[in-house]
Amino acid sequence: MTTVPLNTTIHSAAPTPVLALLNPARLVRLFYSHRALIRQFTIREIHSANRDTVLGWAWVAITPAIMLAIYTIVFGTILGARGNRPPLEYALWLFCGITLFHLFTEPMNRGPGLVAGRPNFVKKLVFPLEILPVSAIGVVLFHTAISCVLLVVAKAVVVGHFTGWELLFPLAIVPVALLGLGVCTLLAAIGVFVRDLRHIVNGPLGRALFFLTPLVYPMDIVPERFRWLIAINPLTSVVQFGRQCLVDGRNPDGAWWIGLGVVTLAGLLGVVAAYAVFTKAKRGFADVI
Amino acid sequence: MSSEVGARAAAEATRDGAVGAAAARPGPRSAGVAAGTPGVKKGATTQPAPAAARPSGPPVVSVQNLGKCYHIYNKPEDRLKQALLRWRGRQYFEEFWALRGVSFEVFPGEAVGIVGRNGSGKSTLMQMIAGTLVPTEGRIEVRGRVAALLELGSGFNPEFTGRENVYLYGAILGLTRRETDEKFDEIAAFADIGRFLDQPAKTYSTGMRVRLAFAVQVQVRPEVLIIDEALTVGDNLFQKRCHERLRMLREAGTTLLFVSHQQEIIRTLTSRCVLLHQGRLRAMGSPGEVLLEYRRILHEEEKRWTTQRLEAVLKRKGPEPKRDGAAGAGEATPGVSAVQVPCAAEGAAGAQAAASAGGTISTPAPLDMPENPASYGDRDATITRVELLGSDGEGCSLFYPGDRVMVRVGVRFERDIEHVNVALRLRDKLGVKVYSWGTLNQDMATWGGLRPYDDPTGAGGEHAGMADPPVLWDRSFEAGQNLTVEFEWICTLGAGFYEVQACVTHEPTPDYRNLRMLHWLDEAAFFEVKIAREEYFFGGMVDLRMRAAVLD
Repeated sequence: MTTVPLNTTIHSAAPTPVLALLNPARLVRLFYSHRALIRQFTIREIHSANRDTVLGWAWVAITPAIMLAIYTIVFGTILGARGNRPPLEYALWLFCGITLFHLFTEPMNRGPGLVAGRPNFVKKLVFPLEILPVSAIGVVLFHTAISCVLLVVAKAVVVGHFTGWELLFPLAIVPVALLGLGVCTLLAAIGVFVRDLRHIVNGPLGRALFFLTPLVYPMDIVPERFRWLIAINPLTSVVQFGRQCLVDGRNPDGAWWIGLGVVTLAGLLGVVAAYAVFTKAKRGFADVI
Repeated sequence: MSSEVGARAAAEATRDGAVGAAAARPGPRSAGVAAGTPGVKKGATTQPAPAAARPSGPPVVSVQNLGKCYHIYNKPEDRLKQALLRWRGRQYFEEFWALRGVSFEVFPGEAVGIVGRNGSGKSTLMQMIAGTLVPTEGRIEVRGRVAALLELGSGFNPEFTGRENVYLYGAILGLTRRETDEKFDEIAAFADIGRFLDQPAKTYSTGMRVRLAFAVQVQVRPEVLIIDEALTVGDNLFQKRCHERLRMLREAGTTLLFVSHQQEIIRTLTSRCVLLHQGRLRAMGSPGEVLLEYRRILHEEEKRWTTQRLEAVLKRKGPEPKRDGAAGAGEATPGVSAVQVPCAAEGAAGAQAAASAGGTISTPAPLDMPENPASYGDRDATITRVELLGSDGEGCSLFYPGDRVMVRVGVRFERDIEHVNVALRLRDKLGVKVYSWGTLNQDMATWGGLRPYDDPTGAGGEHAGMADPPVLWDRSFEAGQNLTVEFEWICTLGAGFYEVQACVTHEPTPDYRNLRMLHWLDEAAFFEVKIAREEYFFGGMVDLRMRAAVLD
């Protein structure tokens, strides 16, 4: 039936060498060989989100619009976090930060249940589980892309002119997506064994991240002695970078450029490390699910 | 050689054969088991060649000393303790080996059946070959693409339509979109679910989901296809089509690994068979022989269960209440001790106890029957021998349709008793009861004026013109007395392997309604029926003696 030499698969108790796990080329090959499956999964999931709803795709705009309105009123006006920015510009500024923030937290929130919630894929199918975090990132990237379009439209309406620095905004997306992928993969692997993870990640951790990232307030209203807390958050420099180029339309501060570079590098290493953990842990998935 | 010994030797040979196969590991090529059938008649060859010619070349699946261990934690917190305090060297779990020391090889184009009871490790083995479970020890080498029908349709997304799921499932199985496009019509035709194809999968019945999944799955043309109980869901028509498709795949070179509890499917579809029992490889060889061994295991456990239940029931009842025969001796023996006699040796001890307690019977003679774990009963009577005889009165265990078969059953009464019944039961290889008949059946027929043994057509001339047989039920027996009953019939069974079970019961009423088992013996004898095609043959399991009248 097959004329090409057959690949021999070996299943044994011997563990995979750690160095082989840490080889980035392995990841590239893995993702490339499963590109069709990744695409299918991502598209299906995007479709399934609004399937059978009455308003359908309108939800993509309705949810952020309502959220923005509430945040603008509560944080911007009532709590006075918007400083001297006009409400509409504050909303734009807020939306820009939250778009990047969600690019990280969505995959993070989904991580713990990504594998644990699909027992069939673990036990009943010969399925490349490694692609699940990738397709989770694919879904959130799609939503980010929609938000970017909305951001550009909003900027045209609110500010009225573009400087060209806005074109740097995608540079802010890359490190967040990498961080999100790494964290999602790691949580997916651990979440199979530690079911409590979901409660930690979705609850206290998510809340803390939201307030420890300068999303609803500008950096300069933070008291000096708490600044470090905000600064060590890798999302801070990315959010600041994104806002300065997209909302303010200027070349971002040098500090944020450096921060961006560091976070991108860390993101890349994080993905490789997270996948090494995932692949190692994967051998035990079927035993505990 | 007496046929009793012959039949037992046959049983022993099969058992040894199975053990031999297991012992032959890890050289599975030598695993074809040939159990000789003693007492051969008409010079026919004993068994068909057990295994089909095996394709040469390297094995496509090679399982070497495979083991899978699960850690059983009694409390959830033990799992955490084990994870955190591992370095202290204490174990907080118990080991459970779902599978251990299993080795075998499968060659290209073979169809190998895996049988065993629930929990014997079949699914664990399949999952490890498929790659969803990682072995604890040993290794598996698989050459080529493996597709596993572990649970059909489990990869479906219930929200999506069948059409969308076909593409999704195809992608999981490694098909590109274009390949799925090309095969879509064939998939749809095979699944045959009509307009449901464009409905969400959540509206599907189990059968529809399985059909669609199977249709996609077989398009992949894997080198190894694992089927774990998956096809038992569909209706007969679908199963038939599945099996046709599997046959086609096999002809195209796909190797099949097949798990099923349906012995008939295993028998027809596989060329070799592996029997797992409690995580160990118990036997390997031709499907017929391995299934026989499997049936023996099932049988042993069923019997153990029956015996336990019987003990429990009788313990609840206390001493046997309906002992109208030998009252004195009966009262003297505690009911429980008479019941707990799962094997012949204890039976003898029980009888001895009864003798010393009642003082009515002399020391019982040593039992003729070797220790047989397949027996139970109150042992007020013991079956001492069961012989299979041919028409010449010699021991025989191979018969052809039309042959006269005789089973001679020897019974010894351990205490005074009346109203007894001696009966036989025939079972086929699958454990299906083919026929049962006892002296009480005959007594009842005689009282009713029927003569079933007198064949009006004269075809069964052996019985014709016999006088009414004496009624056994009316007779009473004394302790120590022996009785021989000969059962005789003209073999009308189809080709196959049969088991004889014998029993002696106490029947206070002549209608089987108040039966009390005195001694029941499983596997009392075995015989084989063959068909000589050139002489006279029919299909199926029983010769109905049809006649065709040709009318122009």
